[in-house]
Amino acid sequence: MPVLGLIIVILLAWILMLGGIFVIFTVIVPLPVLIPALRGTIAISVLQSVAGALVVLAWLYSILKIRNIYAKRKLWK
Amino acid sequence: MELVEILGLGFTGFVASSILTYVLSRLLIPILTQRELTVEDFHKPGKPRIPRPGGPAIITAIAAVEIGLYLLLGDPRFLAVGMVSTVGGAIGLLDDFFTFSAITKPAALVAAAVPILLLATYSFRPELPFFGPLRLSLIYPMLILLAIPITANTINTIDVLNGAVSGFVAITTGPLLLALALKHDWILFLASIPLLASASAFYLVHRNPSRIFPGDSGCLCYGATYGAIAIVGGVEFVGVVALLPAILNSFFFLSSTKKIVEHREIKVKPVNFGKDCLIRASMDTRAPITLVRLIVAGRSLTENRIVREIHWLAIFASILAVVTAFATWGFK
Repeated sequence: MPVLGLIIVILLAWILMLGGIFVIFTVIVPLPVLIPALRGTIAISVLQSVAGALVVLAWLYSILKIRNIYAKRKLWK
Repeated sequence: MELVEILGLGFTGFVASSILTYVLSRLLIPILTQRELTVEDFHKPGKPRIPRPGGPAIITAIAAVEIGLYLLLGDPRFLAVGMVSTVGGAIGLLDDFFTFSAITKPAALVAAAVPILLLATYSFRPELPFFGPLRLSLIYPMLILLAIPITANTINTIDVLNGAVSGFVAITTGPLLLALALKHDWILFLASIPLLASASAFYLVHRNPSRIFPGDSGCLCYGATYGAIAIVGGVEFVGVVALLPAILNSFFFLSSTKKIVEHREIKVKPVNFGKDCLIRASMDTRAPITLVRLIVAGRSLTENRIVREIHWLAIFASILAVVTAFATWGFK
């Protein structure tokens, strides 16, 4: 199946996305419980938003790395 | 609503939307040709001129059925989806005739998201697989304003070869329908049917060799409608997974160009069309990386074969989206 390489790229993107969701729900959502001093303040919402954005950026960065591995094997060999 | 009623309305909506799309597209072909509203088909020998845009047929078919369903059932969510489709398509139509800059187009598309906010047809608790809903009361309205331009442009970037975008949209609407059925959201299930029907019917005139191109109006209408259904129906994550091939295509392109640019502004093309009618990947390191360039990397393929491979990727992403939908609502 010639398209297999890209299917693996899509599969990895999906798995990493689920990993990101896992991090969001296990670390970012319970932040007010983990840092009780900030509970109920605007700072916790800002912290959660920034952390959520970082997870999305990490996902995009990892996709870029996967793309580069694929391109190196197929395009820039 | 009874299941028989839903199936009856769904079937009627499907037939009406597909007939409208097909008949209006066929009517548009001679009109656009006569007025010389044609563009070159770059991947054909002799570069024949193909009429464009077929968007008005797509916009009319989707909007008419959504408004019809609104008049029948009175649910504002039909109106929201119909308005987003119309505004998205209208912006695309302006782009077809006046050619917006790479920044103006997504900025203008923010307006297409406004009906969802005005009609308050969204929930700020998007549901995610395994973990359930996420509460985003403050940030979610802002995300809606970003999401419609993103989905519209993402679908637009997959409009690269004959039949690619129409087939892609028809395939990836499937998981949305399934997710909405799992949620028992029959209103949005019905609202998704015009999109599926219109994309399937347009594929008949858009497949290789294309008799008409959708243009930006058709693609942006498809993308905006897709985004609206995902947001209003609360199946955002399933939509994102189904659109993964198009999202990766946009992201790969953006990460190579390092800025938002229109396709026509690219100096080094990502693929080359040979005299043997085969498409090859450009070996120039300055050429942007796109999905098509990665598909043809290290081999030469016909246009038909590339489109089939894009559709295979859409089918695979749709299977992942179905798994995601079951992980979110399947066990409730």
